[in-house]
Amino acid sequence: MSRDDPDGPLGKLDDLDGRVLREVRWLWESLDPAPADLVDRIRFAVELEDSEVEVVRVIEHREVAGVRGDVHSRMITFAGGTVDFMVNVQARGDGTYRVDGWLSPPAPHEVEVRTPAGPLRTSANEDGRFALGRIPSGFVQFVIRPRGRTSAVSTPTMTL
Amino acid sequence: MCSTRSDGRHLGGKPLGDHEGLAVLFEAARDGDRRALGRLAEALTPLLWQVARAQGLDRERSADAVQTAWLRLLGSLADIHTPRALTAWLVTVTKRVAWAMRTEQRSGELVGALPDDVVDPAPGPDEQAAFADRRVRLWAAVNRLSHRCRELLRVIAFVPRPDYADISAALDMPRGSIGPTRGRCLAQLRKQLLADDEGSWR
Repeated sequence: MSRDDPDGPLGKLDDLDGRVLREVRWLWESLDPAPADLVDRIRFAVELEDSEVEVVRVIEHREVAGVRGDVHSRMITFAGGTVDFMVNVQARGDGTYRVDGWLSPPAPHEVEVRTPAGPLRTSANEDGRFALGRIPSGFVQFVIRPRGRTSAVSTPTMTL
Repeated sequence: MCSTRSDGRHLGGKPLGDHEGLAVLFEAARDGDRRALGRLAEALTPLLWQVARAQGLDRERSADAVQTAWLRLLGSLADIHTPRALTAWLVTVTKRVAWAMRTEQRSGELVGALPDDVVDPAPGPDEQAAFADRRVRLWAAVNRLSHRCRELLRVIAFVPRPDYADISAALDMPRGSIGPTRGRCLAQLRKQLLADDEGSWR
């Protein structure tokens, strides 16, 4: 067996190695596959028009059942280097969602909610609060454009 | 998922290492074609998913880590010059983001030597018994490997062949060491599988 692979003295793979690696790939693909919608979420996310993007991390994601049982809301907290924010997402019962958000530190930044039906835009007030009334169900990506900065702050794509 | 098991040529879906296809998509993506970027995401996300999961992140955080790498790429595409460098860049960033997220995932939730949220390797209701049995035995053999070998082979299995050298840095292995390490790990696994009389590994 020749051992002349440039990446190491023992690096040459033979046919059996190749077959074993394909089997290992198949094993992990069947036991621990990527979520079926992950590629679609990424595709949606990278259609963002901005090129400089700071991605916030999801710090907390709580689901809250409503008193009447028919109202369901989620409180999601995001943290990043420029701005932290929290959104409360409430189902309106007609297939759309109301979003109330708070930016920290508070500032009147532009806020965009990207949806498959197109972007919805608003602006936070001086206290960092913002609200959007009718967000369709499906993919959603929150994008904050802090004043005086060229880079946008974005969440990963989520599903409402 | 995989219907042509017997001939060994179509395991795991897409062919590995379709570099011409990747190169064309990469050039288009660099020119601002976001649909081309989406097609690259289709090709490379299975690898990045395994990279994130191999860091011990839960499924939700792993998905966020992979998405984060792609979003960060938007600002770095101009600095990346080859498809192979792209793969290495994405692996590096996914791994780094996954590490950062680990600190936010309570240690009790960390996936240990054996991920507890992978599906059971036992056969599914509609699965042919022979395939399921093969997977159970392969899973057993993989689990007898050292942690380092298991995670290395898990990621390497998703890397197109020509990318090994570029990927070694991304996996924190000096160039020239990934070959021997991979060779040792593969030799261990082969030994296990070939000792398995029931299996048809030859």
